[in-house]
Parts: sequence; structure tokens; C-alpha cells
Amino acid sequence: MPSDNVLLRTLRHEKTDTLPWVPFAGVHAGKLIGKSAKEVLTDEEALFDSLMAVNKLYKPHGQPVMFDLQIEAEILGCELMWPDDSPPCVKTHPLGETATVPCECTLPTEKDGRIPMVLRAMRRMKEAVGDTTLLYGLICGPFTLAGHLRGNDLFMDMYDDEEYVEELLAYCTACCNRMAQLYIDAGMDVIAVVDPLVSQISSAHFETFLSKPFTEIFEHIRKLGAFSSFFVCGDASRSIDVMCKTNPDSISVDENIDLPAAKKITDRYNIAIGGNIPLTSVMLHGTQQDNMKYVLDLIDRLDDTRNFIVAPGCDMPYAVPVENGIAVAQAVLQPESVREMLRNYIAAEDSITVNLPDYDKLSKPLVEVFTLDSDTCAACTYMMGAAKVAKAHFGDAIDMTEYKYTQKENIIRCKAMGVKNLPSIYINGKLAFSSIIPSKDEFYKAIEAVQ
Amino acid sequence: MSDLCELILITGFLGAGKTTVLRRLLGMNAGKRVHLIVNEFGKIGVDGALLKDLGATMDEIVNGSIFCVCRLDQFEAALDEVQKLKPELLIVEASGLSDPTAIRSLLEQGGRYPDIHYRGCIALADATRLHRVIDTARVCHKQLSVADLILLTKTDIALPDQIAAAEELLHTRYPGIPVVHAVEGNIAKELVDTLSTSHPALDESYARDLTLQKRCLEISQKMAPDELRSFLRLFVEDTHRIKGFVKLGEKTFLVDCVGSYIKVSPAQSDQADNRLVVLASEGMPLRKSLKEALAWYKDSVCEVSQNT
Repeated sequence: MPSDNVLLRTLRHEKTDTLPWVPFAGVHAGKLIGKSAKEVLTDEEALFDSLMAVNKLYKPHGQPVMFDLQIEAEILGCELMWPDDSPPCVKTHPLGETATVPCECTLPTEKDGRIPMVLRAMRRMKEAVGDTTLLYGLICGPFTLAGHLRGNDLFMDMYDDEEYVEELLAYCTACCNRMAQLYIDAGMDVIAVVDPLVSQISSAHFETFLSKPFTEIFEHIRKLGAFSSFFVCGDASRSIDVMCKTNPDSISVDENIDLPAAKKITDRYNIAIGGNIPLTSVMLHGTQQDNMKYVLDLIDRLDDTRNFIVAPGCDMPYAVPVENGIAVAQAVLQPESVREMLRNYIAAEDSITVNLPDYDKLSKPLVEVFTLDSDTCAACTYMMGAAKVAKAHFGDAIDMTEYKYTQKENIIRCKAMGVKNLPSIYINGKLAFSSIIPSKDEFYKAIEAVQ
Repeated sequence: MSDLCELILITGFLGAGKTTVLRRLLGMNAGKRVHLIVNEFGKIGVDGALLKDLGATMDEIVNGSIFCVCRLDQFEAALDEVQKLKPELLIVEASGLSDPTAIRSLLEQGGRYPDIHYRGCIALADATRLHRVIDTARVCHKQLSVADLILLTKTDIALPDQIAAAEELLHTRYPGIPVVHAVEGNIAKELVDTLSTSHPALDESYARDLTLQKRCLEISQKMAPDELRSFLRLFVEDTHRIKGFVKLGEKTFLVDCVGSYIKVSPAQSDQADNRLVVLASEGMPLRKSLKEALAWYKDSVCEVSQNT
């Protein structure tokens, strides 16, 4: 594990000067390299390449390798349905008609289903970025897995036949422990037990049915030398306290939970908490400024930032604009600089005027690179690097300049130009590339087209 | 002719018979331009031929994160399309595990869907299974508490004792919401035609007949609207009604929650006393959940005597 990683230190509950950032880029990772959700979740090369793109653009302290809660269910006999832009859904439930508990001989092994592909990708990621980034292995939590296997009758079983539910959950717990072992052996530093169905039951039912399985799983992960995280989706506010009692190293929540209020509870148990950038309203539909502001406001609302991890509320939607991920990263990694940017963005209207070039009368192509700050923002550094390569290639035949958003007059320039996303490259006043770094060939062709 | 598209939401726990009711609704609206948004692939399903016969169109939302109410983006995209199609009636069949309050909240986001009018919610309760899921699956209770009409289904195969117990449970926990029997989705057209959210909401005088629990809360002006919503979420499921005017920062808001549906909307009122009246009745564990909620927000909310 990378010893100076702030996420590692946060999971050890140490105070850190900067905050850790974990983008939950599952299917969204595919968008960065033009691959569909299904490609990312089934093809090793697509998965590895997309994860490397996440690492390069978003500069995370930790990142998941595979965000798909259906891997175990698929192996255990659930049929899946595959949308293009989401993880698969479970379509059939093998225990739907018969309340039996499968033999433990059916538990997934390293040779089953998509597990071999996932393990290979995990090992490659460990080799490639393991010295700087903590890697998350995500497993389907016992309750959601039981729901996948049994279907909706699980809720009636909880009323009719508690003993059966306990036995089925014991089987699912064994499955979780098996998956955790496989993923830790493949180099995963953190095992996230993802259980969205937890928010569908009361805290009393949690204690009756789930306290024991989760406690056992987190203890197992700890014995194997990894960290654990308890992921929930939805409004599980009323269960935060009982979740803490199962003793995970961290908890991850979405926008349905008031994170600063929940953190007062997790702090009592000395458990880290992560979240909860809204997936749709902010990450998918918001602007870069909305994303940066949400992160800074969230940080400002915390009494104590120890034990806090900045992360999306859950698996990022496929179509989240790349620049929004970049904006969040910048807000976490350079909070004071971004704070200044936002202040200037609001105040920039009236104080300074900028003169834009007369783009119709340029003597040679003009490449303008708009960045958050190429010294500190990874994506901006790469974008600026591409521009410098082009400048070296074309020499005096083109003009090239960078405008950093850290300076007030550049914010005004962005507004005047209608620049919506950073980083981006404009050639002769027209948007040429936004967020995704162009290849050398693409860049050269774009310049030659206006020469 | 009005350009407004009427939206009817159908909810019900998995297996309660939503698709059967959906087919019946389609049949009784033959001739109208009807659009469906189906948030679940059911075992029965609505096939393309039936839709074609009835002149209806459909969007199917398949979402791997179907449990997450924060992933309404596919539903939003479908609503955007509906605004272009301009149907007369939009029927939304929500997933058996989805939170029905999220859809209504989305529609009430100022001006985003001006051509869509939320007519109301029909919730289905399976008479044979209601008592077994009402307390194990939180969403089941949520769906019923925000309904404008409850259909008690499968009464043809339920035992008389089961039907009586289900009726008693529904009337006790959801007073004021009409309950009708519906075998094989058979629902009277007049009930659908008169569906409305503006039926007499439960108020104090109604609740006086029940084993009334009434509490009064004082809200700090320093609280942010989102914080208040988070506070309310911690106990709203255990109430019938929460109401009052509050001033948060410099703005006044009306808090008006019915069942599990939370509404905190800007209001023009100089009567904001920052007090919320909370009503609940027999069987609702308000005492416990409110105590926990007050512990979360002890710096911003306190309980006060109703007479002060």
C-alpha cells in the first residue's frame, strides 16, 4: 500500500492536511475512452484502459476496479439484462420459487463467470497504479445478494420464516467472505461491501438479520489485512448507528443522507465516512462551478474533516461530463485555489473588461488553452502538454497561449468566449477539444484545417 | 382543449398486481393518446401488440441502480420525451422497490415540466401478503402513505380474515385514503376519472378520532432547507401530517408533509412562527423516531409544548 496516501491515513483515522478523493467511476470510466457500460464490465482491455483513464484524469487517492453488484448473482444463476449505459439488472431469481439454501460448494471460485477477467484487471491495476492509489474491490452485500437470489419473497420470508432468512444470509455471507478473499489476493486494499437494499428495511430489522453477517464480513476483511467500507444507497439515515456497530473501517453514503449530521454519529465510533456528491442534480446535470461549490460547501459544513472521504454518492452515471469529474478533483486537491476561483466567478462581472482577438483577421492559427490550472490539475496538465507538443511541431506557424482559471481576467475571458468546460482548447476562437485530451494526429489535423 | 398531460402514478410492492391494473387503465382510456413509463420489467409485461391496438406508446426504464432514488436521470429523460410527444395521459408504473415520493418531488421542481399535471397516485396492496411486507419493506409503507387511492387486490383468493385484517390495517394506518377492492385489476372508471391529490387531507379534527399523537417542534432559523428536509426524512414515515410555516435564513417556507411525502416550498407569509405540528396515530413509532431525529439535529430543532 502507498504509505503516504491520504486515503490510507484517513482509513487509519489519522488527521490529514488534505482530504482523500475516491471517484466511483464504474460504467462512467467507459465514457472516458468511448466504451459502453457492457464493454467495461465484460472486457478486460476496456476495463483496464478505462480505469487508467480515470486515474490519469481524476487523480484519485483510491478507485474501484469493478462496480457491478451482479457478478456474484450471475455466477449463482441469475439471468441479467444489459443496458448500454448502466450496470446490468437481475432479471430472474433462482430461488424465487423454492426457499432452499444452496450448498456452499456452489460459492464462486476464481474460475467462475467474470471473476477471472476482474482478477486480471485488478492485478494489472495494482501493478500500474498501486504505488499511488488504493484500489477498491467491490462485492455485493449479503442482503442484496439474498434479494438477487430469492427475489421479492425475501421480504415475506422475513415475516414468515426468520430461520430461513438467517440461513440464506449465512450462505450469502460466506459468498462475501469468498469474494473478499479473492479480491484481496489480487491486490485490493479496500473491500467495499455494497448493499443498497439495506435502506429498504428498518434499523430493527437490520439488527435482527444483518448485524451478525456484516460484523462477520468486516472482521474477516480485517483479518485478511485489508480495509473495509460499508456502501449503502438511499435513505439509510435511521440505520447509520446500527451500521457503525458492525465495525467497518468506513461507511459510504449518498445524497439521501445528511452527511455532516451522519458524521457526528460515525465519529462517535471512529469510523470514516465518504460521500455524497449528488449523482444526477450535480454530477450529471450541474456545471463545473456547481460541482466545485458542492464539494467546498460540504467540507465547510463539517465540524472536523478527519475521517472524511470526498466521493460521489454512489456509482457515477455513465454520462457524467468529464469536466465535472475534473472539477471535483480540483476542488478536493486545490481547495483554496478553487475557493478563489468561485469568488472571482461570482465577482467577475463588472470589474475588468477583456478584449477578445479578432478571430476573422488572424495572421496565423491561434491555439488558446483554457485550464483550471495546468500546474495542479492533471487533466489540464495533459491538455496543456498536448498543446505544447503541437506548438513544438508547428513552431512560429501558430500562436499558442494558456488561460488559467485561477486569474480573474481569465474567468471573464471564459465568460466572454462562452467557454463552458475546462480544460478545453479553442482554435481560432472555436471549440476544438473539450476535457478529453486529443491525440497528436487529431490536434495536428485540427490546426491544418485552419491554416 | 387543454395541452396539459395528466400523470397517474401506479405503485405497489412487487407482485401486488400493478401490470394487471395498468392493462385495465389502458383499456378504459382507449382512444386517448396514452404514454406509459414502465420502471420495471414484469413477469406479465405489457406487450407491443397490446400497446399498438390501443394506440399507446411506452418507455421502459431499465436501471442497474434501480434502488437508488438519486438515479432518476433515466426517468427525467423519459419525461423530457413525453413533453415532446404531448400525450393526453401519462401512466407511470413505478418499480416495486422505488420511492414514490421522489417522482412527485421531481415534478414539483419549479417549471421544469410545466405541461405535466400530477393527477395522483394509485397504490396497490395485496390482501394476501400485505401484513407480511408492510413492516419488513419500508417502501411498502411509503407507497401506501402517499397514495390518493388504495386498491386492495387479490381479494378473490384471499381468506375473509386476511381481507378484514388488511382493511383494518389500511384504515388505521392511512386514514382518509379511500380503499377499494380490485379483483384482476377491475377498477371503476369513475374512480380513475376523479382521482386527485386534493382529497380532504388528514387534519387535526380528523385525527382527533384516532389515538392521536401530536407533537410540536421549533425550528432554528439557521437551518438550511436541505437540512430541514433531512431532519424530516428521519421520522416522516411515522407521521400522517407535518405542517407549519418556517423562516430559514431570510426566506419563508411552507412545510406540508402528507404521509411520507415531504414538501418544503417557498411561501409568501408573515406568519412564520418556525413551529411544526406533527400528527401521528396508533401504531406509529413516532416517539422513538422523533427522539432519534432530535438527537441528530439537537442544535437546530427542539420540542416545545403545544400551548406555548
